[in-house]
Amino acid sequence: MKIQFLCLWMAIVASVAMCFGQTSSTTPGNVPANEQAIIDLEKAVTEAYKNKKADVFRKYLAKNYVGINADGTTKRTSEATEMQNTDLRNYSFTDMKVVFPKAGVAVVTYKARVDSSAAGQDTSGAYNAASVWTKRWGNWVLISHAFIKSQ
Amino acid sequence: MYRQLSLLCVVLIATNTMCLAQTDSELSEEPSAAPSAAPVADAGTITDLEESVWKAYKNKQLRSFQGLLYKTYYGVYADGIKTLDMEVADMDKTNLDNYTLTDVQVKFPNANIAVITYKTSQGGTFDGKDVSGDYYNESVWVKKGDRWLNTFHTAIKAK
Repeated sequence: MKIQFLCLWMAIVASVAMCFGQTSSTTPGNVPANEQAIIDLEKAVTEAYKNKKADVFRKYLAKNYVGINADGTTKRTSEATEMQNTDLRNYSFTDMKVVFPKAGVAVVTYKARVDSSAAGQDTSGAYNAASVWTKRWGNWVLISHAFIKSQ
Repeated sequence: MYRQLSLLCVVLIATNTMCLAQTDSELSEEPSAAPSAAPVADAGTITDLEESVWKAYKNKQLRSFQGLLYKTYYGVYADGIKTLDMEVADMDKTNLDNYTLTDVQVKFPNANIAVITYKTSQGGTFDGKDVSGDYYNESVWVKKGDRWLNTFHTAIKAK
């Protein structure tokens, strides 16, 4: 009987340990893993843009991607063309927030500070930005990006 | 001893139930990776919903406005990044005299997401300041159950 009692105690301890293991894993900065994955994607697509890696950049954008800025809306093809005319020298993101309004849909918002020029004009400054990602065939793709110079 | 053993069994069952309940509901949902078989809303439905948001905002119809936006909504503008509560607070300080929506385009990345873009010409004030002009707008609508809800909006003053 004592052995059965001991076994049950061990089972309870193991169950509790499993319980803790089942919560969303967090990164060292206490950001849940699913949110960190979106933050990492946002940084990866920006890094591809900065380094003018067109193939990598295009891979992140959905075919029906829509971008929006003070010049109007952009498509996947026009973003890739703009990338060639943009010199993004430095950037930093702060206040990054990720929400999942539905499984497979992520909205990330943040403040960006960029040191850049586009078509010869200085575009450096502080911006408010947002992206919407959706999961398609197991991969997250960017369907929308907004980039607004902050006042 | 038997009584203790029974109690332990009950505790074990309860613990396991808690275990299952602790999974992240977001992760446990089936991701909408592939376009679903559900009928896709037509562009007109999304356009009508977008116009309803504008109408509710203009007429300061709080309940109608809140009912069209999802709880995790974000709005991104030149003056900041706003939650649903912040948008509601802004609505009180806004006097939207008139507006027109043109160049409306709707895309459906999948059956549960709609992206609408359009241009607005609007006249009005925010916090006593004139905010009239032309703006580029975008909203993202997500289907939650049988309802479409606005989860993201941006408006950028046109150059």
